[in-house]
Amino acid sequence: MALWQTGIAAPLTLSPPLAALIIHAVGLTAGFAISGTALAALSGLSLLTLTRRHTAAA
Amino acid sequence: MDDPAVSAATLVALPPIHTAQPHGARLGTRADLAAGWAAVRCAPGVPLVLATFTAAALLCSGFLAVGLPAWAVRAHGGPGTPGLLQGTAGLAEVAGALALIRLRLHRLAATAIAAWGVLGAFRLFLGAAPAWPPGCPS
Repeated sequence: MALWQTGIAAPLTLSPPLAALIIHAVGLTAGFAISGTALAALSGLSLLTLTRRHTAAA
Repeated sequence: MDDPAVSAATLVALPPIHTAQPHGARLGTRADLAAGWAAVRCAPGVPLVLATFTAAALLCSGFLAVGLPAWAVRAHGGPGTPGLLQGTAGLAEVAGALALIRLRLHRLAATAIAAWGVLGAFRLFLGAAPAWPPGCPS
């Protein structure tokens, strides 16, 4: 639990200033688009890694 | 997202739980972190899921905290507008959780990771829409 809380507390603290920086730089709509693109790319990359590990382990 | 006040109030309200402590077991945050890290390394896929959640929280949560009020201001909404948006998100989380517990998911790690992709796709659509209906902020 401590590991989980530590891993979550840091991004929750850093995320608002990062979002404010991005929104200030590119605007609100484009900021949401960047956030969505990054989330989709992160998810795809993680899924690819997970699938490769499963394939390698099998 | 977690509300520290709600978490603290919940912890205070919980009755004390007396658990049997194995002889010689170490207590403390460092020992807890070390035990957690050892347990995580033993489970294949879990470090990847945790790393994905950490990165996704970094990319996601701030836009709710900063973006929604900014959106409400741009839409000339009152103080209740961000509250309505946040409340809608909370209701959707509860509805999603209730729907998920009825499903029998077999690949939990892949499902959890894919859920971030779904959220990203919705957000990308929100940001990439070329034009908004009349009355909506662009």
